[in-house]
Amino acid sequence: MNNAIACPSDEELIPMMVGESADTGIASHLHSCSACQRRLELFKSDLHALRGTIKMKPVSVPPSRPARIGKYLVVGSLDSGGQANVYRAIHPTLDKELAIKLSRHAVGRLSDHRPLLVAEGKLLAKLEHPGLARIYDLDFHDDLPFLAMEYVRGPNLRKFAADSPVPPRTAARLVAEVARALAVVHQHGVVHQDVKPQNILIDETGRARLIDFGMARLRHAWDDSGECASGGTPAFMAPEQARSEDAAIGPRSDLFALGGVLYFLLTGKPPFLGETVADTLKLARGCEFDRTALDQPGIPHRLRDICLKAMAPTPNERYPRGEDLADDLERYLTRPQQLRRLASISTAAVVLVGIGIGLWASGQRSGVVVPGAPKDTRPALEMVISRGGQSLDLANALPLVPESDTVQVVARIPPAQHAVLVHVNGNGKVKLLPFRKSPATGHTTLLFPATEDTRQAFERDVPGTEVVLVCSAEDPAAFDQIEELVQARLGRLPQMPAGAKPVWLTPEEVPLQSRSTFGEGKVEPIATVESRLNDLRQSLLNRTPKLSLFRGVAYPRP
Amino acid sequence: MTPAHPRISQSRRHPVYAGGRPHRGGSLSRMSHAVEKTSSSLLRRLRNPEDQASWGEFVALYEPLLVRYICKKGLEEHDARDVVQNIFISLLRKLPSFELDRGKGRFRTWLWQVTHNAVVDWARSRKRTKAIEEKLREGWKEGNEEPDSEWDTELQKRILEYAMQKVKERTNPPTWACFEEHLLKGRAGSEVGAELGLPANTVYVYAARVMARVREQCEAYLEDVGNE
Repeated sequence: MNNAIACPSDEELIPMMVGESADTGIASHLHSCSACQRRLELFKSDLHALRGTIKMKPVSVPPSRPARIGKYLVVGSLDSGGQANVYRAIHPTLDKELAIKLSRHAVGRLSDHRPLLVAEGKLLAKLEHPGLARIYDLDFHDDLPFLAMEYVRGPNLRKFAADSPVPPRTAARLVAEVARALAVVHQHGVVHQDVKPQNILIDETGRARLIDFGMARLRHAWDDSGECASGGTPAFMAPEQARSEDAAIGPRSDLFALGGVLYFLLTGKPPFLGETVADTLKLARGCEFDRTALDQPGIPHRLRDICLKAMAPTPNERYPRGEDLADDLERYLTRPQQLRRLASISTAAVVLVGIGIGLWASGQRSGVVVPGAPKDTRPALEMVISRGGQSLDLANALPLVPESDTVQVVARIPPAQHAVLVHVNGNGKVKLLPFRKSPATGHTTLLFPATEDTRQAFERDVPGTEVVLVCSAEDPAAFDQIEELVQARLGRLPQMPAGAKPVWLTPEEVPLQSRSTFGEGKVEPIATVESRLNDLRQSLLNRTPKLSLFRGVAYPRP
Repeated sequence: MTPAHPRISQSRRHPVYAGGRPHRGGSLSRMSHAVEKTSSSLLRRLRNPEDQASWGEFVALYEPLLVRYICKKGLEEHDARDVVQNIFISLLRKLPSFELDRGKGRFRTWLWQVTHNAVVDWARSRKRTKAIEEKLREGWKEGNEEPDSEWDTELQKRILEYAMQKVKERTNPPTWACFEEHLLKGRAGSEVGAELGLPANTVYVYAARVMARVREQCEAYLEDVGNE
């Protein structure tokens, strides 16, 4: 580069790049300067590379997506709605993944809403439950309020259900999980007001996670027009909310919507679905949804009943709390598998499922006490022992106290079904006991003992091993000579030890406890009871016409 | 020759697309203000918590590259964008422990590996249709540990594309037009000048100025990526 003539600048070389004639001085310089020749080649080759990008198909970053919100680094968009955009982000130093909901409505620095919002954010950050996506932070990004929430990797329930049908059992579990989470939200005085499948995410472990539970409280930040005093999605909306009866909107409104989610999972459609949003809202106001859709084969009656109760038109008829709905669903889930299978393989005409033996607080008027179901037995058969005003479940009440304990049974029978209750006393005497049908929430409740007379007869029974058996069937002919059958199979059972655990009978099995529970000397009577109950089970399974369901228990009466 | 116009090419040993060693410091004169901000390593800036702008720039540069590359491997754009989110999360988690200076080309390979793993994880995490599975297998030889040539091509193209975009954003339109019309499209300087009401010499000056900025911008990004 020590040529007599200084090397030309780029712009002096430029005409030569595109094939234009260059200054003669430069041309002759180039001829003798290898460095400039190299420069020219590099320039041409760079230019060629740059020209090569012009034809590329443009792929853009959405221009509206911020790279940072507050201190959080945004990695992508998750959702965008009318009021807010949701982004996926990461905490810059804590390595925590977040979903950030950024409002579209600015709240000025001096606005009265700011301190209010901050207070709401503090409240929401306290809500913690495995069924909730946690809220960590509420802050402002260029005057736009945002919520930093736990990021849940997984589809929402609408997409989850669209990808593959959700079996009733899974539906029950997921809805129970959300019900428990809602209970926590409600305990903090927060009403969600927009429970719907899109606001329930299924995380990587398969668990349901409720999101957006803070939106109702933050609505004044998310929408300053004040139009959405009771927002939410009309397709799942409780009637009082659709009618904007603000005073009536409460936890039960959320439970209605959650019942709607169960309805959606069972039937495949949302409860209210009009041609337009206005039509849908009209249906929601009148609580007009197709209840018969729940009667189709494959939908367990028990779940249908739970769904209908959750979706009762007036709030007072619904479950009072999320726990109550969850309890009912979990009771359904803990029924033995075989029972459900039996139900599901039966012919479509026979609508099955359904004796849940609940409890009956006879004459107590103290309302229903839910006993803790024993874990080592079949909790589906819940019998309540009333002792000195206390209600105990059977397993916890043994040994029974003669003359003072009363045994109470409630069996809930689907309307289309017939049922009988069979009692075997300590001497092996079999009685078909009368019961009273009482219409409750869509099913028939079988109360036992039903009358003062039967109660007397029941209580004064002789010491020994007692058996209670409930059977249901579509065709009452299935009960023909059932007393004889029970008599033949059970006979007079050996006396069970006073402290022995009850022996349960389901279509699936008679679970064996004799070996693990008792010392060798005492095994004998229990083993005999188990073996005879198992014989009875086989015979009940083989009856024609078929029994839909049956459930029994043997227990010692000292 | 005026000192106002730097001779970028003199410091260059390789063409831009081959990722030469960058021009460091020196007399960038008039364009130095604009260029200096971006000429230091983007990765280095990204690790500086004070540098608020670097993440946005990183995303703007790499997201289109990753989406385009992953789509070429057989994913739909929608799915590709999901995968890119996972890649960014991985990157941000791993970046603090990534050693910037240990040899060239590490980021190029590293980014590819993170991308490769994210696509493989994505494919594992869902029921793939047969078609996607086959397409993926074709596009991605099993057990491939090194970036393919497609990766290098796409990476380089994207850097050039984005560098031009960045320079265009901060260049006034007539100046940019001189570069675009004359150099990129190859139209005669006098013709372009006539349209813009500029003498042809000015067109050359402006075009050269923009070209220098583009090269400078490219070098800043190519420094991160390196090249074996």
